[in-house]
Amino acid sequence: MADAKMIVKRLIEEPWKGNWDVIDEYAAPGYVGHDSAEPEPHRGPAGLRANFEKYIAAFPDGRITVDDQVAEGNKVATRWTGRGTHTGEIAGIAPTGKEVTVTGFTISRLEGGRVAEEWTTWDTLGMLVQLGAIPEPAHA
Amino acid sequence: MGEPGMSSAFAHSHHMPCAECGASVAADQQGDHVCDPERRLEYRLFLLRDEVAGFDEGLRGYLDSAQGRFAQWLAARDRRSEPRS
Repeated sequence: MADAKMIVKRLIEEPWKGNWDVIDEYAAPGYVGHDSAEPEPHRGPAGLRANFEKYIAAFPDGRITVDDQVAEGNKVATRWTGRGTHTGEIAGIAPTGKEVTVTGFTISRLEGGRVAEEWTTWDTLGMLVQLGAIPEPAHA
Repeated sequence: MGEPGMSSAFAHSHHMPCAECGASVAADQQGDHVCDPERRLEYRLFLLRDEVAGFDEGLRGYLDSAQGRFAQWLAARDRRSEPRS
């Protein structure tokens, strides 16, 4: 069985490269994903894929890079950075052509070599500021 | 929008897109950033995409108008009257 950190890393990074097989391989059938930017959790591998597709449509050249991981018991904590160029609509914001960089954390709970549940918090506000949807504050 | 003072406490981002080329630049590297000319051109073209996309349609509309038809007729006549070299 693949290492827990590697499972989580692949599930976070690979869909952005078009490798959708990792979702069937590593997301449990009863997968639940809690995302700080979403009012409702993503349910099942299909829900996870739909969430990826939404962001990939807005940032087609986007990539997520795992920066650090810590594992304990059946959980893996992952710190990651996402970067991509905004060429598709997201959150009602028309494409700007701007490249954005955001950071985030995901805690993943594994069951039987698959990710069963995840809690993700990421810099949504930073993305909105970088896209100009929220004015950049004047520096003191 | 809320009070500027409130948002300024929270809305700083570690990265911001360069205004000239759109590249994501870390706050501590903004002084050193040099735009890649190719990226800057792509960014400018992206910002003008609606105008670029509308150019062909605008040109077709102009050529179909009375002014456009006359301009075509005039250009053709001028071409015919140019001395052959």
